[in-house]
Amino acid sequence: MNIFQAELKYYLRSPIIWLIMALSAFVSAWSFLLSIELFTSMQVKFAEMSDAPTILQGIIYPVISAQAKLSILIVAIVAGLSFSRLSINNGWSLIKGQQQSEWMIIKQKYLAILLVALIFIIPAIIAIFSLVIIAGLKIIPIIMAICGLILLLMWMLALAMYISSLVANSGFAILLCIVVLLMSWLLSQSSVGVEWGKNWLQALSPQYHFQQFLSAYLSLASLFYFIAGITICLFATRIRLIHKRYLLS
Amino acid sequence: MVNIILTVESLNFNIRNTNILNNIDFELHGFQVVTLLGPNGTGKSTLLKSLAAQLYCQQGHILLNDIDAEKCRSLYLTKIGYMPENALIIPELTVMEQLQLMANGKQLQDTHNAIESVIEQCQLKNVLDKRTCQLSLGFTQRLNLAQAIMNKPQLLIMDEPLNGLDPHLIIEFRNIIKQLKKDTLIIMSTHYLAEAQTISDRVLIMQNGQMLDDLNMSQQLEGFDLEKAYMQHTAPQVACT
Repeated sequence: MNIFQAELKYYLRSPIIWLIMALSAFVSAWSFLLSIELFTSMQVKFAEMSDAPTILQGIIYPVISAQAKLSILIVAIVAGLSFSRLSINNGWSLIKGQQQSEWMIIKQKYLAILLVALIFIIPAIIAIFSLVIIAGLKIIPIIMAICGLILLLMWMLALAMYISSLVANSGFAILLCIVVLLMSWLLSQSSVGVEWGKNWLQALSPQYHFQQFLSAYLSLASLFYFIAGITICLFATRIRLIHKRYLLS
Repeated sequence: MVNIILTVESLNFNIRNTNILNNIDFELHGFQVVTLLGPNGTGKSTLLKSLAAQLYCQQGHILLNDIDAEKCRSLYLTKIGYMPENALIIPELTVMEQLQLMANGKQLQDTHNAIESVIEQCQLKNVLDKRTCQLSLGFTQRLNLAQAIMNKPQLLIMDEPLNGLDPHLIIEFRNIIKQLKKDTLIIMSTHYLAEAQTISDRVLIMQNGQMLDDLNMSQQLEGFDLEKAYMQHTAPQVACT
C-alpha cells in the first residue's frame, strides 16, 4: 500500500466525506432540474427574442458554474485535511521517515485528493453529457467547459493543499481554505471602468479565468494561469515539506 | 557479524537563538542497549529525532558506519528504525494496511516476509484486521515497534517506549529489546530509572542540551544505584514565573 492508496482509504472511510458528497449531489441535481424547468417555462418568451439563449447558455453553463461554486466547499474539506491532519497521530514523522522524495509524496497525495474531488463532480458531468446526447448538441464547447471546471478544481486543490501544509489544526485549515478560496473567487467581482485599462485584480481571480472556458474558443492565457498556479502551489508545498525538518513540532 | 559504530560529532540544534542541543559528542560501538536519561525538556527527544534524521542536522555530524545522516540520508534511513513517543498511525487504516504502508515507505525488497516477521515478533496476529485507532496502548506500542524494526535496522531509536505501559507489558517489551539487542544497536530514552538499570549496557545523562555523563553499566561496582547517580548529576529545574 502506498501513500496514494492510504489517502484514498482515509477519505473514503470518513463519514464526513460521504455526508458532503450526498449534500453536493443533492444541490447539483436540484440546480440541474431547476435550470431545465426554468428554461422550459421561458420557451414562450424566448420565441419572441431574436437572440434567445441556447440550451448551452441556459442550462449547461449555469449548471457547470454552480458546480464550480460548490467545489469551493469540497476542495476546502478534502485538501484542507491533507497535511493539517498529520499533526495528530504523529503523521509528520511518517512523512519525514519516507524513503521517497518530497515530490513523490506530494504527487501521491495530490492525485488522491484530485480523485476524491472528481468523484463529487462526476454525477453533474454525467447529467450534462446525457442532456447533450438527448438534445444533440455540439460536444466541443461542453468539453471545453468541463476542462475549465477540472482545471479550476486542480488549481484550488493545489492552493488548499499548500495552505493545509502550513496549518497544524484540521478545522482551522478547512476554515482558512474556505476564506482564501472565497476571497480569490470574489476578486473577479471587482469592477473598474474600462477607461482605467485592464482590471488586473480581476485577472488574478480563478473565477475570471474559469469564465473564459465557458466560451467557444480556448484562452491560452487562462490555461497558463491554471497550469502555472498549480505548479507554483505544488512547488511551495515541497518547500514546506523540506522546511518541516528544520522545525521541532 | 557486522560491526556497528555510531558517531555523533559536535551536534547542535538551535531554534530562534535557543540552543536545544549543545555540542553533543559521543561514539557507540557494537550491539548494545544505550539509555538516554535526563529531565523533561532537556533535549532527549530532539537528539533522538536528529539521530533518526527527522530533523535537519544544522551543525555537526551523525555517522553510522561512516554513512552521514545528512549527506546520504536515503541510505542512512535504510539502516535505522525510529519508534517515536507517539505512534505513527493513520487511524482509518487497519493494522495490516498500516504495516503495508510502512513497508512501502521504507521501500523494502521482500515486503511480505518483512511484514510476516514483525507480526510474529511483536505478536500482532490477533489485531491485524482492527483499525489502528481501536487498539489499546499496549498494541499501539507493539505496532509502533513493528514499524520501526520492519527493515531490520542496525540502529534502533526509541523515544520513551515504556510510557504508559503496565508492568506486564514492560516485561514483554524488555524481552523484545533483549531479542533485538543481539543484532541491533538500541538507543532509547526513558524516565524509568529501575528499568534503565536493568536493560542498559550504557547510560547517557543529559541536561540543558549537553551530555553530562556516560556510564558503562558493566564497569560499575556491585550495588551501584542509577537513581542516586542520576540525582547527583541532574539538579532539579526551578520553574521561572
